[in-house]
Amino acid sequence: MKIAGEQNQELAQHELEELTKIMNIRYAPYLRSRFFEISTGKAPGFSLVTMTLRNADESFYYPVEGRLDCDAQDLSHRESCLFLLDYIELYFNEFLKDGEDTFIPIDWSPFQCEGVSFELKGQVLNRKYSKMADRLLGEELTNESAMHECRGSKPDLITP
Amino acid sequence: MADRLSESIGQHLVDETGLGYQRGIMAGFPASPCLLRLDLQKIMEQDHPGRLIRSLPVQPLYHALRERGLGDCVEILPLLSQEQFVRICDYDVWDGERLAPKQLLSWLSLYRESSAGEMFRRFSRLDEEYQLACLAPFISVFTEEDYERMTDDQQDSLQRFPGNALYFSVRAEDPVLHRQICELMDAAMSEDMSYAMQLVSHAGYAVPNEHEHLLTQFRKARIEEDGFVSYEESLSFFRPVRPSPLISASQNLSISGNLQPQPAASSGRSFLERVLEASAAVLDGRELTSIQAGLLCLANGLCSAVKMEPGDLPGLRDTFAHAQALISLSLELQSDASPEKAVSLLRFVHPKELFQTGLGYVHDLRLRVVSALDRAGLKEATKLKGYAQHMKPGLVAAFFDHLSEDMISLEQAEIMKGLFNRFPLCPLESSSDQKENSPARLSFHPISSLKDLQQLLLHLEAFFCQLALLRSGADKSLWGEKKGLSLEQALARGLVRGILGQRFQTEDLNLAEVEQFAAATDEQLHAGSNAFLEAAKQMLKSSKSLLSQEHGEEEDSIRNAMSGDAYSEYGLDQIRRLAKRLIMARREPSSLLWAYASTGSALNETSC
Repeated sequence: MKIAGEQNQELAQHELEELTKIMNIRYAPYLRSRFFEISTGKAPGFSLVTMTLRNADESFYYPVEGRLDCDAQDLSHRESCLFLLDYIELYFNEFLKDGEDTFIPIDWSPFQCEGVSFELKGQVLNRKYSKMADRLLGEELTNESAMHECRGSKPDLITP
Repeated sequence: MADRLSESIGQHLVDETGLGYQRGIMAGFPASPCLLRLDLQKIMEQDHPGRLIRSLPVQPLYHALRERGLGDCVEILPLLSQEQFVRICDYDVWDGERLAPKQLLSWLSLYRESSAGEMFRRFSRLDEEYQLACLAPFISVFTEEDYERMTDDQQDSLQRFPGNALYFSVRAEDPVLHRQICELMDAAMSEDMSYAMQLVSHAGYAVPNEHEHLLTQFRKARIEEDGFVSYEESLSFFRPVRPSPLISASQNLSISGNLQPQPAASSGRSFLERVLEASAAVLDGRELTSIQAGLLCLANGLCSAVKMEPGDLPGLRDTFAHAQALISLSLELQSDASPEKAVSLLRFVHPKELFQTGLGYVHDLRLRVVSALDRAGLKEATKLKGYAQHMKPGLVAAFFDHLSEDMISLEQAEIMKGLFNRFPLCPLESSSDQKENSPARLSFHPISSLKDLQQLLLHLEAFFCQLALLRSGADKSLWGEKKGLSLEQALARGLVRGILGQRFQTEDLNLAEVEQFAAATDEQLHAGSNAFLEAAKQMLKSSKSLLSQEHGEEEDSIRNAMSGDAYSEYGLDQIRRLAKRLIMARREPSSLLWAYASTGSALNETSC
């Protein structure tokens, strides 16, 4: 946020990697087998940042997303991303150190810090189970479709 | 380390002392013997639990309360002595050098669940500085004249004392904090009105931060008694003491027969835990308490060194585990793994010294590694030697962190970083099941035993064994001259030639060599591989390991361990596996290993 002469640049990939590495080192004692990932993006008028705490098989997958209206807040895209990253880091600091029972709303909700308004959302997911469920349902549907095809009738995908 | 994440961009991840990352990177650890475990449930079932609780040391009591959950400790908290409560506040209600009023008021709110009077009594018996530092930022005081000048709305927002001579308002923005302060003031006004008025007057007119500053000094003095010494003083803990040759190390450190890494000690109990158990039968209560206090003091000192707050329980547990690991290593090596001898050592040698000796063993190994890297031709090795000699292992770890994968594989770099970590770590050998599930995963844990040290030596020796082989086949220096050629790539090329019966050379393979290797049968290649490995074994036997060359005249434990053939055999075993993989990989042109071997002129020719 206070990097002179770089206010208008976007966050470079190596900087994101560096920040990710710092997060993983800073919170190493709390991470167990999990790790952080950071990504940034840009939508019209908005800067988007996602900091995800997850494990390898994605049975724990916690993306915290932030978005900030750069024009309304008079911030560059880079400044907005760094601001959001700072705030999300503060949140994860509290989350990890306070027994992981501090959560933020699952849908976009307004927040304010240091006079800047922005929105955050986040939800703990078990993507491993979700994928397994999708696969199982997919197989089930495929089998069902195949059976109905053999019988010459269409499957009822919606049951009353 | 910068406070804001964004300010960390471009900064080195090592602190100014060069000691390394502030925290070790590792998985969770079991409870440490450095900290006495208290069963609060059992204590509460005794006839006089209050007397018992007031006799307990504060830090273990604080950890036990936090582990039980403060919400479940409402009936225990009133039994604490005021001195214990003050010490708990010293541990828990601070955020660095700043008081965290909300945290202090949260503790007091727990007392309120017993009674409002108990809450007030606990607060009013705290140091005056605690009371004022907690309330001063949030209390505004108004006289009758001020009150008269206010609008109706402003007047309604104030609280008044009897007589309407003094008014006050709570100006905390946080609604929880606001409620807590109001509850405290209500309790104070109902218990002792004159005290409440004095408190508000003093808090309202207090010089900002004055009381907090004073309190910081008092707190610092108090927690120093527990071992949370100043950061500068804590750095002395990391001065390694050179281990004396107390033991017949060749018996202990050499590996005979089974070359596979031994199961890590962390799966069972550590040597220190066994020694403490043995000491319970031999030593009297006072000596045991003294040992326990020494261990806790050391662990707390290390927490200061890693700038960890006394209230950071998960962090403290990890730091305690590191302290335990190096003490355990030191005791095991110095006592010849005899619990009886170790009990005597623990009785007469301060845990800090044991920790430093444990670090000394690792420091010795670190010096050998950088020397070996120097001999292997690493350009920056002289600089690394300087860092290692001046006890700045963190700078060496940072070097490996930034080293290109072209020069050293990720796994080797991680092992090096583990060795040069402030609290040294070694790779944990995963079981075959785990390997199948996540073959690329490398877990680390603190070096806490002889077996861990052996495990680390095996990895290092395998690495240096590969380097020695490569050095024999490289016309130029391994590093620096030819950028973009990784060690594994060079090894793969040399192996292809070696298996084909040619001279081991790391130059690019030509098309004929690639085709010859691809067309040969498995039997031919396995026979070629065996012949090559036999020749390599003879070559490695005739030249000493890179790791064990320099300290030729020194008779210490680590050197003895290095001189055996077992380690080079382990290194050859790794090369044998690589050769096997290479033979398999030739059928899959997309495999990375085969691409490694065949990249260069041969691949270009093939592509053309």
